[in-house]
Amino acid sequence: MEEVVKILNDAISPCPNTYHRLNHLSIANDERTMRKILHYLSFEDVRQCRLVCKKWQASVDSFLSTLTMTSPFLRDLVLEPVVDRIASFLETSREQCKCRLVCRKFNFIVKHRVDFVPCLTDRTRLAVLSMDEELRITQLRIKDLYLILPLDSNGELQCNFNRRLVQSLVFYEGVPASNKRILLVSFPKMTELSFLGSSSFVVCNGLDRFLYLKKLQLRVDGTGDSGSLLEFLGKAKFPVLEDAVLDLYFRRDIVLYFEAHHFIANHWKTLKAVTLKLCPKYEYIPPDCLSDIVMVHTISLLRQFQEVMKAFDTLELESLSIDFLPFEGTSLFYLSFALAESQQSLQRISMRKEFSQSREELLPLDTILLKNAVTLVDINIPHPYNFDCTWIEGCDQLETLCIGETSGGRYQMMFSQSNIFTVTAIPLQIQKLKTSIRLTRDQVQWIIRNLQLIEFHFFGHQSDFYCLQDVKYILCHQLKLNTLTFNCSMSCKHFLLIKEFIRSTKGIVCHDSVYGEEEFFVALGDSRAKFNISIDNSLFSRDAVR
Amino acid sequence: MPVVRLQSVDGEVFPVDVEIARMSFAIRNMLDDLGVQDNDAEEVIPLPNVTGPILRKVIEWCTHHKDDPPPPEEDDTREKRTDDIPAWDQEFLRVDQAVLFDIILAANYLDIKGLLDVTCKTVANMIKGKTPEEIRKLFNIKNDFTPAEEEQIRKENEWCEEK
Repeated sequence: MEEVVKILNDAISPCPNTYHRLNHLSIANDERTMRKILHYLSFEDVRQCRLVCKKWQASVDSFLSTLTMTSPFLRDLVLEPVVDRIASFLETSREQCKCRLVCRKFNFIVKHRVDFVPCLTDRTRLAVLSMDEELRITQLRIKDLYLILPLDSNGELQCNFNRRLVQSLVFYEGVPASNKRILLVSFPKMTELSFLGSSSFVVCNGLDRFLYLKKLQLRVDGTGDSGSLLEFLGKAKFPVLEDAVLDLYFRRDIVLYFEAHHFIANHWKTLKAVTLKLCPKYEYIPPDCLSDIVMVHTISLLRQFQEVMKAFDTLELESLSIDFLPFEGTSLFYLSFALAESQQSLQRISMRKEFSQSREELLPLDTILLKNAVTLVDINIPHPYNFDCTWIEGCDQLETLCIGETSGGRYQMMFSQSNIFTVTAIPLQIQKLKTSIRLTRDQVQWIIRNLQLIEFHFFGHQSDFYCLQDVKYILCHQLKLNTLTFNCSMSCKHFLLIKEFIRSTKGIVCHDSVYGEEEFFVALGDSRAKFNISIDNSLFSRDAVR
Repeated sequence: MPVVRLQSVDGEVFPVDVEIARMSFAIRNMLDDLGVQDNDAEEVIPLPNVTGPILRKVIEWCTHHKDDPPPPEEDDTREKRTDDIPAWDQEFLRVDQAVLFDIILAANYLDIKGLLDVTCKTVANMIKGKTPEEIRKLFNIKNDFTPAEEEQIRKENEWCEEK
């Protein structure tokens, strides 16, 4: 040991000339020097060096592991930063993981680069629970886990891996409440919790619980018992929850409807983003069935409704995405509308609703848009009614406006008489405009002349027939446009001319083109054509088109 | 053009333009720390970790790339590609494996990011598509795992997050 200290002291003593000063710099920071010294020591002395300090311990460990290398140049190469750098150029996790299997040293260096997402089941539990403690397990997926999990003395999951690194838990089907409870209390740094297709829920409230949980996701398909879901929605508390995704199969149960909104109201202090989907999948329930749906209708429940609505007024959401029930806005089903109407600082709003033919469920679009005009950046709304652009006139931050389902769907057929008014009020900074309300030719021309769009999707009015010149006009005036989708009346001849133009023009690619054959087009009338094209502005020459 | 003299571990001395020598952050720091001026042509900078033949290769690379823009800041989140090695570099690095590794070590020691990147990319390309056994064979590495350890790592690897 004394020998080692002497060598190092000699090395770092003040030296008069440049050469030695440089050697000093080199020795102070260079692991290679340390290794050379270790080479001269007996194994026992090397072991003693390991006890000097943490830095020496690391150097000795590194030195011992390289002794297994048979290649002299590779022994030198295995400086951790260099191998780590090489590994950084392996683009896929699979390639990096493969390097873990080369030797212990490679494993030691590379394993930090990869995120692991193990799936904990009865079949995999032994392998998962014994995973290397230094692996970065960012998410744990749990399903079909019926065997009782092992516990440590604190009643938390006993495992080899570092539980504090796990940020996300995802529960699928087949995890009994007892195992859920163990897992929910065992990951103190968890930031995201998801129940996907899970049918049982556990409430684990407590002052020291979920202190980092910012996102909760519930996707429930409705095949299981709703009892524990109702309790969870009503009682679970997450002190810093910012983002809630509730995607619930609706079971004609007013209590479930209430509790979903109650959960949002309970987190009014922290929530910034809400996604609420209560649509019955593949099922349209006309309003006259509501008497069956409203099973519980008591004074007490109505009072609770009022309390939830009061809490909504204190919510300050930045993002709201709602798929409304088909009968939202009728009878007792007004909480989702109330949630949307209460907000005043939304940046993003996305709404979907299947409307009845009578459109009696009045969606308060104008109120919602006007209240959030100052902050809105992204609007995605249905269009059963006429849309008046003055509602968005004050949206100075607006970048995206999407009205209706531009990809097709029922709206166009059911509400083809809707109109869009006052296009001149559309904010000029808008970059993406998509609408399935039919635009007149004059409206399209105003948009082309006054906006600089990146994406433009539109439906032309029935009586306006479009031709190749119209397409060229749009392309020549929209200098930033990279996506153009339109569905317009046109003759077969012009449909073919446009196709040929796109095919022969550099920088334009057609992804989809259809001429009046689909059922959807028949509903809209004869002679409709649809194009979906993308433009590469670095290749497309507007001068060549003019 | 001012010149500095770089001395390899085996005593060979290479006169090099200061601007080229300063592409190495280690040499740049040495010059700055020691207060060596541009006109101190007699000052010899010893490089105890680099042999003469390797130092010659490093100087050749630096000379060819002297007008390159400075490399971007380290950013682990940035996409790292290996299919962008310039043709000249590919030809330059068509050397024995031992020489390639020595150049990597020299680039690492001298802190020449551009050279370190291009050599590490070359080794990464050698690794890509090979099995662990082929990688061991290529670099002459002994498999020091027990069968149980190897099996555990294989299982763990099944759960790596794709990126």
